[in-house]
Amino acid sequence: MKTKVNKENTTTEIVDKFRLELRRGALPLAVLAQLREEHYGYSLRKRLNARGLDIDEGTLYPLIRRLEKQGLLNSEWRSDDKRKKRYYRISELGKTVLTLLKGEWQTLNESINGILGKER
Amino acid sequence: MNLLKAYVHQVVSYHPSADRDELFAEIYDEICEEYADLLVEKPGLSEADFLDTSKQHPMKFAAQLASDSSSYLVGPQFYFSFLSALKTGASITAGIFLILAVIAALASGDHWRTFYRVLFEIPEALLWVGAVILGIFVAMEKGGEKATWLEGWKASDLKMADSHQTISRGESFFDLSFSIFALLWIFDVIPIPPVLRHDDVWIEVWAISLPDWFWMAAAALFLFDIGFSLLRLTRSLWTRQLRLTTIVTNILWLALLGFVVSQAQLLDVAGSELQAITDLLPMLNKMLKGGLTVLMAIIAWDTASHTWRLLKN
Repeated sequence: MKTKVNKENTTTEIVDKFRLELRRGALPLAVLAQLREEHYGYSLRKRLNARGLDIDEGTLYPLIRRLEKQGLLNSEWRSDDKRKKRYYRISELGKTVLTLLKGEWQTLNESINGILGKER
Repeated sequence: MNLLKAYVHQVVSYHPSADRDELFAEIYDEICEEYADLLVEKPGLSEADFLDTSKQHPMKFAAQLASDSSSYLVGPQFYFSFLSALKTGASITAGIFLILAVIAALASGDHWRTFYRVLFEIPEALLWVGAVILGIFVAMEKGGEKATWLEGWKASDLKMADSHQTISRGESFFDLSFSIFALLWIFDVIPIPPVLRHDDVWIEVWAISLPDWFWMAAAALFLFDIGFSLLRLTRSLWTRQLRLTTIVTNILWLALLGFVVSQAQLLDVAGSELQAITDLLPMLNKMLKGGLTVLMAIIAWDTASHTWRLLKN
């Protein structure tokens, strides 16, 4: 009984790790695509969540920071109501990278679907 | 929004000071919006309940926000706990050695030499403590341990703070040590070390001519500073009350030091050495007054800085 519970836990842990890895690769693409419209942090997170991509702030902000450092995003501080907000938008370089990544994603998606389909 | 503010202040306080203001603005806005959205769904939801159900330990959240940084000695999960352990370990070690140095100095005939000898052992002890703490954290990292001490966090654990400026433990520790020594000196428990040698004679018996009320006021302030430094050592962030207390005590110190500097002659020597350094006394008095004026400038700058931050927040 104990072994079975342990096995289930291990499976869940392994799946969780793979899910994390899959998401880690896909998230920059989703964030870049979503930032074709201007957003601040929370509105971006809400929009991604509404589209089925659950992402917490501890993941989103370091990612945004990295994309900005790479020159793929531009940001601007503005005062809204009583607080300051930082608005993000994809840069020209970001648009080029997004187009190329979109092609990569579609090719990879087709290949993986083909492989998964064969195994069925 | 006070509890939310205190939470975000605590989160960003773990990050480098250059990043804190921007990080605070962004994360505070995020958390306020999330809380406002949840209030629509659950009217009456308190800030404490929101933090308890939706947010993790501030240190854990801070580690996630820094997860893209490459400046870690140990992994992100343990990084801020490691830094905290290092600071606490260093403070405790330095404190123990300071107490040992005072006890050893009082027990020995040669007060100052014994005191310095014990004090000079602190750097080596700190290196050992640092190495042991680093070893423990590296072992936990390699062993796949989890930072379980950051689980089960409650919003009620938060200490209220109105800024994310951290209180320097080194500064508090220095204030504590200085106040203890000054107080012991005022009550003649320890003498001033001989710092001047003239014509092959160490000048040991100094006399400072100031009225009794001055010494009583200085002793009272040093006593207060000891308690206040101890309180600061238990806190991590500046609060309005701590800043106000610092400003008031600084002003009192400025008044006392101003009185000292305004005296015609401060320093004198007693005994047979008097003849030997008569020519030097005016210069020594000038040097002492100059040193005290620099000290007053530092205290004035500290007071201005606290006042500015108080008004800013």
